[in-house]
Parts: sequence; structure tokens; C-alpha cells
Amino acid sequence: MLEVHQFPCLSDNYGYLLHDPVSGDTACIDTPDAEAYLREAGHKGWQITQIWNTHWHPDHAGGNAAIKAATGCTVIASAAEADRTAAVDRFVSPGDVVQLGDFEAQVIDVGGHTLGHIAYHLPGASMAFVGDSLFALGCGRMFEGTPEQFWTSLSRLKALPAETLVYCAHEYTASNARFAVHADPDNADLASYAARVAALRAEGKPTVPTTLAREFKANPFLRADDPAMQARWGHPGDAVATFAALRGAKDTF
Amino acid sequence: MRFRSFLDPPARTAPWVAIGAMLAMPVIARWPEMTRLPALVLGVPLAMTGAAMALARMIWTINKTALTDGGPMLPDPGELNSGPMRTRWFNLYGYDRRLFLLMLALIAELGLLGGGDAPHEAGLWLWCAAVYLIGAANYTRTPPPEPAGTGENPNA
Repeated sequence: MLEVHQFPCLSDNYGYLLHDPVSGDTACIDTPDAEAYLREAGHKGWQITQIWNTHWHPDHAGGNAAIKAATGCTVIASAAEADRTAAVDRFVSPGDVVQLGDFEAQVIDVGGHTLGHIAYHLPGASMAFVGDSLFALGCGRMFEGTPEQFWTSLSRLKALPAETLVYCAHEYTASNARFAVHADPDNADLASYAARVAALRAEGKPTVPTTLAREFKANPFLRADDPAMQARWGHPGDAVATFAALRGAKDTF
Repeated sequence: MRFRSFLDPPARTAPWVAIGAMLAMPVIARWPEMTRLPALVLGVPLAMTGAAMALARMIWTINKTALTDGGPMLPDPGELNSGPMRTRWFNLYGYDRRLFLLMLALIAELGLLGGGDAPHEAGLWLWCAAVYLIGAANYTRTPPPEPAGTGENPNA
């Protein structure tokens, strides 16, 4: 059974250490803060052997060099962002598989936030590390991609099993919930989800990980193919246009 | 950012190159005729490397400005400089203090070797080393803390 150690770092990032107790291997999922990762791994008594980058942004890959220098680990990152990610040993592309002990993680193309953004899906552990592509009740800002690309990426995540635990990279859920309620005000599942988020945040607890099942019902960006959402946002039968409208509205919300 | 793979190594080794330049200076001043060609062969690429580093830094700054309209930053050339530059002792307003001290030492050395009366080969060597050091210092500059994001959650 894989163990996930989740801890906050920087202003609103989550750091993740993924540990296989059988092999002793440990992977850092992104590296927002090298010191925090090394400290947390030390506290757990885990030896970092790999880094899995989701995309090139410094709050995701900025600690690669320092962690690699301290541990000698192998750094894995998106081949499509080879010229923007530092200290990488192995570049991977969608469809590739990375290994942690006996567990396999499939590399999924989730471009849109950045062009070469990838996610790591571990079917054997029912979890996915999605970086900034998908958030609880939201999705990443579309810095580099197009609505078509981003919607296709989200559709790939939608195709994963509903019970998949989704580990996103930021604690943005409370503000995402405010937009989600604005975007989809009649959604009862969303209303109860938003109430639970408010309660968790009031106690200072994380709202991540979430599950795909929960997001399917409440995340407006994943529901751009829902006829009711499409009608509400003025693009019946057009998921991409609905997604684009939602994304544009969120940018200025 | 492919330029990083070419420019990071000379930027990181700049202090050692500067010490090498200091050691070479008396030899050049003592035997200018003999050392003219080797000094040019080494000095000109050194200066060009420095200019390239300064130019790369300028390009990065322009790109950063273009891409930071609400978005995250491009990787800073100085950001992954995990060596001494990250320590307070060597940090002079974000620049590598050692490079400036070494440049001052080079100037002082030329002064000791005769200043304006020293062979012009030595002066040219100083100029080449200075361009290189200034370029390296600029390239490896540690950026100041970034302002807060433009929104409540800039990545979403």
C-alpha cells in the first residue's frame, strides 16, 4: 500500500511525498520548496529516490536541483517542457509509465495550464497527482493552452475511475467554491460540498485530496459537457465553448 | 531557456576563472610579446561569454515581464544557482559579492603592475575579465522576492 504524506508549503501549495514501504522508494510530487521536502522526508525517515514534476512552473519544479543535490534522486519531468525544467534525468511523454516500487504511474497529457503539463495516475492505488490542471471545484488558469486543449485534458481526467483520489497542488478550494456556486447556483451537490469546504477551512484542515466522483457532481469545469450548464452559459451542445466561457468568467471573478 | 545549459557552467565557475585571470595578469605584464596571442585567444571568448550572459539575463527579464501578466515567473537564471550565491555571505544586493571583490582585486593588481604604464596587453586582459565578471554577476543575480500574485489564487 502506498503512503502519501501531504504537507503545506509556500503560500498555498501542497507538497506530496509518495512512499512505497516495500521497496523503500519515495517520490516527491513536484518540488515547490526543497527545504520543506527534505525536512518532511527526514521526519518520516524516508529516502527520496525520485521527483515527479507535473509542469515547469517554479512553484512546482523550483526545488529540483536542491533536492537532487541532497539526495541523488532521479528527476522525471514532461518531455514537452524539457527546455524549461531544471535538473531532469528522464523526460516522459503521455502514455509513458513511471515506477515507484511495484506501483506504476501512467503519464497523462493534461496540457492547458501549461502546454506540456502532465498528471500521474496510479491505477493500482486509485490516486492521481494532477498538479495545476484540476483543482477541487476548479481547474488551473489557462496560461499557455487553448480551451480545446484544456477541455480535452479534463476529459482525460474525467475518463479515470470515479473513485480516484485527486491530489491537486494548491489549496484553492474555498475561493473555487465561491465561483462554482456563482456558475452553477442550482446544484445541490455543489452546495453541500461548498458547505463542507467552508467547515474544513474554518478548522484549518485541507480540502485536498478530493475524489473524481465528488468533482464530477460539483466542479463546474468538469461539467462543461452537461446540457444544463451549457444552456446556463449560452452554448448548448458545445462543451469547449462552455468551458471557455467558464474559464473566462473565473479569470475575472 | 536552452541558453541555460550553455551559460550556467561558465557563470558558476566565474570566481575560479577570475582567480585564474589574476594569476595570469603578472605573466602577461611581464612577457607581453610572448603572451599576446594566448591572451587574445582566451580573453576575447571570455569577454564574449560575459556579454552573452548579460544579454541572456536581459532576454530573461524581457520574457519575464511579457509573461508575468498574472502568471508565474519563468525560471530565473540565478534561481537554481544552489552554490554559494544562495548564502548570505556572498550576497551583495542579489549579486555575487565575490565577483566584485575579484574584479576590484584585478584592478588593484593592474595598478601594482604599473597602472597606465603597464603593457596594454595587461589592460586588455583586465577588460576581458571585467566584462566576463560583470556578465556572470548579472546572470547569476538572485532575484528579489516577488510581489504577491495578482489574484487570490493566481494559478486558478
